[in-house]
Amino acid sequence: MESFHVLTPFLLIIWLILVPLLSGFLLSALFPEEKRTAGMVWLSGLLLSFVLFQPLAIYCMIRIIYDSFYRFTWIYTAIMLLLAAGGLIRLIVTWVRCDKDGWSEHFLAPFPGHRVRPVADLYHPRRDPVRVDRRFSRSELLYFSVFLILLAIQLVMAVLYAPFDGDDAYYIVESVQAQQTNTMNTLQPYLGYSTALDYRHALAEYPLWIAYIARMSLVHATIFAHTILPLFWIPVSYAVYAAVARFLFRKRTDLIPLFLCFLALFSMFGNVSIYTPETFFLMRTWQGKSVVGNLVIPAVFLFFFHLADQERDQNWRSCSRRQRLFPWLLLFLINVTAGFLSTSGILVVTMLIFAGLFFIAAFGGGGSLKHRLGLLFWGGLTCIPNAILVLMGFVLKPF
Amino acid sequence: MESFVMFKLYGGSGWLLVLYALAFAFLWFREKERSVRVLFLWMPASILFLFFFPLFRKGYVRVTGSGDTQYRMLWLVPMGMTIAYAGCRAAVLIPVRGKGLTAKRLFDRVLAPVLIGLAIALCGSLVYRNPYVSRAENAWHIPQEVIEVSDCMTYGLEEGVRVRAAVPEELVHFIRQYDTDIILAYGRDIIAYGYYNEIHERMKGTECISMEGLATALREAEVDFLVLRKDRETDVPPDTCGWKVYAETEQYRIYADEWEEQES
Repeated sequence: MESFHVLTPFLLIIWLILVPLLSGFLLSALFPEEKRTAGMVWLSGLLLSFVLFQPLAIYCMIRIIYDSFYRFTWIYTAIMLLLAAGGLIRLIVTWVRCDKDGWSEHFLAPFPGHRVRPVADLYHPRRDPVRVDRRFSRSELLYFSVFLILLAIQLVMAVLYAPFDGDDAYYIVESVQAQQTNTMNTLQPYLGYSTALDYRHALAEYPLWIAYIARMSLVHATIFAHTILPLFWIPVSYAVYAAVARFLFRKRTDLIPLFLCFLALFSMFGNVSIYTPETFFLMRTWQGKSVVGNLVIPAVFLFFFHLADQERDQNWRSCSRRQRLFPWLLLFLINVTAGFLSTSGILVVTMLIFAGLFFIAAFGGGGSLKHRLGLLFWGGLTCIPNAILVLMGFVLKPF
Repeated sequence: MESFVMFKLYGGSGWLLVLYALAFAFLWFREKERSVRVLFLWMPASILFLFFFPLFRKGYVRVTGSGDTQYRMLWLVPMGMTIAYAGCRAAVLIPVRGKGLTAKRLFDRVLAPVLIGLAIALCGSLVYRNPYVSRAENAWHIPQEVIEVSDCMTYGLEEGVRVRAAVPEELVHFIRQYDTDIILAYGRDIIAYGYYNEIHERMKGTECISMEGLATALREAEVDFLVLRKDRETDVPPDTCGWKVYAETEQYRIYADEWEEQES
């Protein structure tokens, strides 16, 4: 089996960056114009790839007996390449149709430097900061440098140091088994013998996603999980925290890098027990529950702040339909991702969503009672994938 | 009661919880922004209330089948974000004097953040000082000896041909993370949950191994390879029971079943 190929770095860029970005262009048609930023398009493409991965993997796992992972790989690759091609076509068509000024309006506004926005946009956390010309103060640059140093330390330590965790004997082996034997959760990871489907773990397909990306990138699944994935998840987590910080410090944007410094320090010194999300963040970065605790839950907080801000805005009625739909679309993608990452993620994320929505509806802003109850209704709709997974768990249990 | 025990275990030394309580209290009195109050104060308080509520604990155990993962509810309390946010608010309480980058101004800008950062560091515990974090020996992040032992057992075999092995406890977690063509005679569940497995019972610990009994148990389980530490004592040499030395690494000796080979 391949341990590491010379093409691996390029293939990783294709499957972790390029394909999600291109497929995200298709989904970004549903976004309001100010949300079509490079980061958001890429993130939505990545979450979309999880949304498609989950049901297809479950279908192949249950219905295909022999070489299920091999067949799954072909089908899923074809789907993702089709989506990426569709995104590319949309990109080209928009390029051809638009004049140079209109280009950024429609599409590639995502990329910085296309257009300079009024500085007032900077203070509006629902707008895109990358298009605003702004000079940073020296203290901001200092805090930002400290944060980058702390981030670099975390990334270097993730590569050079190896935390031991017993659960890897299950989760990582699931990935290696899929890559090596083309099975999907039908071999007992601890021993290697055939087994009945373990519904508790089998419905969270994240270990199979690790196996898939590892296979497509010609790298051993264990190397990918232990050495490469932390370089991916740690910066993405901080990007989500930075997005949350924009809501928290809308009047003091100079404090955003200081907030990130404190968070980075807290992550490094949060190892007070084996249970804290910070321990999971830096000692079990590659496991699904760690990603739930350190990416999905902060992303739900991002949704809450976005929604609370939108609700509080006196002009919320003037928001376009796309603007109103956007946070719910994001929440739907986050919800499916939670179930994709960890079965226990379904429970905690659903609990968080309803707790947060209840408080936002009750105390967060204006609007009629009907409007406020509508928030809970929309929240409930986004949780439907979670309910389906729980039901599937009960249906699959006898097997 | 279980919830309190879990909370205590979650908090470890408890100093970070104290820091969180201080941040919570600071925001309770200072924060005016409604959305921050709702999401960093009221909602976490209600989640903590639920966490300690006995009926909720019963419901959680009923739904999940065990209360072992109830600590993950505490992940919904955004301790890190609350402390960092309160830290930023506290750091700018003292107004910065003067203009330009004077020493005094730098002191104002740097001292408070450094003190707060120190508080976080002193109340917490550095993850890299955890005894379970060690220098990586290879890109797999598993002990190098595991790779050498695995390669010895599968050397010359075609991909997909599987072998069965009984290995010491310290290798069990890692072997199949490297190569799943190796089937184990006992796995992590036997060690972690204390289930009975005859081969494990005979191999565990540091006492002298009764080789006759182990050899019989290994043959019943159709094991191809036995891996023992070089310093592990056996009452009689393994080759007298048909287990000849197949390969060696720095710390381990790998035995193959000679009698099984002759039969086949």
